[in-house]
Amino acid sequence: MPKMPKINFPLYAVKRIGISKRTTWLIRGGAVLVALLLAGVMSTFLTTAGTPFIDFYKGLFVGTFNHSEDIITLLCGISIYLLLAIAVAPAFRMKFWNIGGEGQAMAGAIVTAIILLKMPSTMPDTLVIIMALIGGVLAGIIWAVIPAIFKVKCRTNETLFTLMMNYIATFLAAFVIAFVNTSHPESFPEIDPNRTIIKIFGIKYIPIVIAAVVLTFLLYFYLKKTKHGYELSVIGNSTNTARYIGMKSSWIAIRTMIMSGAISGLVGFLIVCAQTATLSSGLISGRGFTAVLIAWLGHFNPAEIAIYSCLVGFLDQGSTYAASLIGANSTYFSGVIIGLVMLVVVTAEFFINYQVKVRDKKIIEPKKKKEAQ
Amino acid sequence: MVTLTLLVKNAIRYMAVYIFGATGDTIIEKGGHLNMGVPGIMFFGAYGGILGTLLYVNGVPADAPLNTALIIIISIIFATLFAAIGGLIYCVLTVSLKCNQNIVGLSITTFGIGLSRYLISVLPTGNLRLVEAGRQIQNLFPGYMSAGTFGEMFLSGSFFTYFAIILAVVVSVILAKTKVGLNLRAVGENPASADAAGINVNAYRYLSTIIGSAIVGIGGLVFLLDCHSGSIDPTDAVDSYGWLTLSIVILSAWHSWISILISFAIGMLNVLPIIFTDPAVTNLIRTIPYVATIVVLIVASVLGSKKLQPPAGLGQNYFREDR
Repeated sequence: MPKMPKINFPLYAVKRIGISKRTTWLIRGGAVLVALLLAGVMSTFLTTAGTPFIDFYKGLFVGTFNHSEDIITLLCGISIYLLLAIAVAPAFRMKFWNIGGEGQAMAGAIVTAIILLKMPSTMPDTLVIIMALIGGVLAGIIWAVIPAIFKVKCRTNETLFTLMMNYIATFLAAFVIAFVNTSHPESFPEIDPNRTIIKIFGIKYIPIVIAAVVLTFLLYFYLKKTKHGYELSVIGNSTNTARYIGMKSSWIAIRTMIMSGAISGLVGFLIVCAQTATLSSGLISGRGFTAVLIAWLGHFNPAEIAIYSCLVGFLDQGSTYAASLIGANSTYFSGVIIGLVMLVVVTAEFFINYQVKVRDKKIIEPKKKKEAQ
Repeated sequence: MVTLTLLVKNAIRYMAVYIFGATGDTIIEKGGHLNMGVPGIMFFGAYGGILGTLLYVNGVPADAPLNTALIIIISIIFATLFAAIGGLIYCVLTVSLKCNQNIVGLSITTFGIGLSRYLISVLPTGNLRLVEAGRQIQNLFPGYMSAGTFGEMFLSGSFFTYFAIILAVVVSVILAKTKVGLNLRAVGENPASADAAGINVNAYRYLSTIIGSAIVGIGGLVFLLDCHSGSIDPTDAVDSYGWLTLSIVILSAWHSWISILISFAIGMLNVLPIIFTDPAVTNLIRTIPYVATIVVLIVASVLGSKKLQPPAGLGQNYFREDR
């Protein structure tokens, strides 16, 4: 056996076995607190005016809970993160790295917007909205299934494939906007308000929240209680086991991606039809990627994902407001805070999976031999 | 002919961004890191470079001329430093703390884009000296017009253009022909075997990612200082160039010298709006690099050709006890 290089680093990592749920959540909670503390420190660094440290935290809560409108906007923001995250979670469970939620939602939004705008005005609005829903979901499915088919048939790398599909969708949106509105190629024309579902519920964002709650419960049931969900876990843990007991993992992959695409497409439909009533190439603005982080942090479990979505949605809206309070540029501030918090929380996962030990100078090999006997 | 000259001239300008990005990313990926943080790291580099240039131009008296060599050296030092910090964060999290590479990468991209955009937005805008510095470095050979059409096409680039080309070739040679390159490729292909052969996997992964990140950072700097002539704007989509470099690496089959040609082609696509003024067509053209990447990915996987495949250990962390 070749001699291993000598490592003198005083700390080393060991895999943890059997960590209690309480400790896990304590570590995570601690990480979130540390992250928020760092975010506060960062915010004072970023603003030269020397604003008090506490203003950042005040802003976080004032921006999210002060008015009833704020709370509804917050719920809508959380719901979009939640929907995008639970859309990618099932595929992640079987180690299919679909990071194309952004593009799938965009594809759904594009088709929705085109249908809502271009259908003749003689058609009843309800019918047009239903058509847009079907079209949006189908577009999401198509955007998701193409990489899945190639992954299954030719073993094409799905991470890179879905990543590229995101950008194709973004530029297609820009193309559609410029194509439809030749006089103002930067902006999509306003969609007739009667054709959005804003009016049905009276308040703008409610359909998105309802969809998020319902789908989260459904998906929780699907993943935890059905045979389909069980199959995903088996494939994720061991493809060989899955093959041995006769699971058709290629069909399961395609089936799961159809579901992912459908939910993402639905998000695209909802954003256009219940929130913005227009199309822009920055409609999803990176939230699909953040959702991937959320899904991973939540261990692909809808209940945990919901918790992290709340955190990110809260930070997103709260820090934007806090920025205006502490005299920072609010457009880019939330990105800094979310990115920082994510980095810290991701780090915390290490302390859950591994234990840090101090290297002991005494050799314990003789002891080990005794135990073996 | 005039249009073609203009196209090539502009493609030469933009291509350095891609070459730096792709070369740096090739080094990172050869070590087995699928670094989705590249867009964020590129943005870090862009900000760092601009900050360095600003510090320099502010230090020079208002009527004194700027020194081209100093602009280039200072901006490169700052850009590489800032980008290397991004790479270091990535390494600490993936190598030492064994976090999922995709997740860490995406976090760094979110953080990097957010922070850099924010910091650029608070920089004083409309700094004329910065623009002057940007203009000053744009032509390495001031007499390029005297070499006729050829000169206008290929000799009009900045120092960065030619530096990028040389660097890509050098990196290609190092990766293919030297012991260090061989070791690095071994670490990327099969870290367990490399470890058994006595290669320090963690050290190689740390160094390759930090050096690669620094090179990626120069790409961001070139974008703001050279291509945008130092007129900075936080809405500049440096990150979209970062994502493109990921696809260029695939298109070049992990050979940085091939990435020179691909960068040139994508640089051409970038400036095609000069011909097609219709914004709809422009946006459609922008999808071409991504579609081409997908086609290459599919062709590579159908052929099963090993030469076109990513390093086998790409995206997987190495923990000795997992064996």
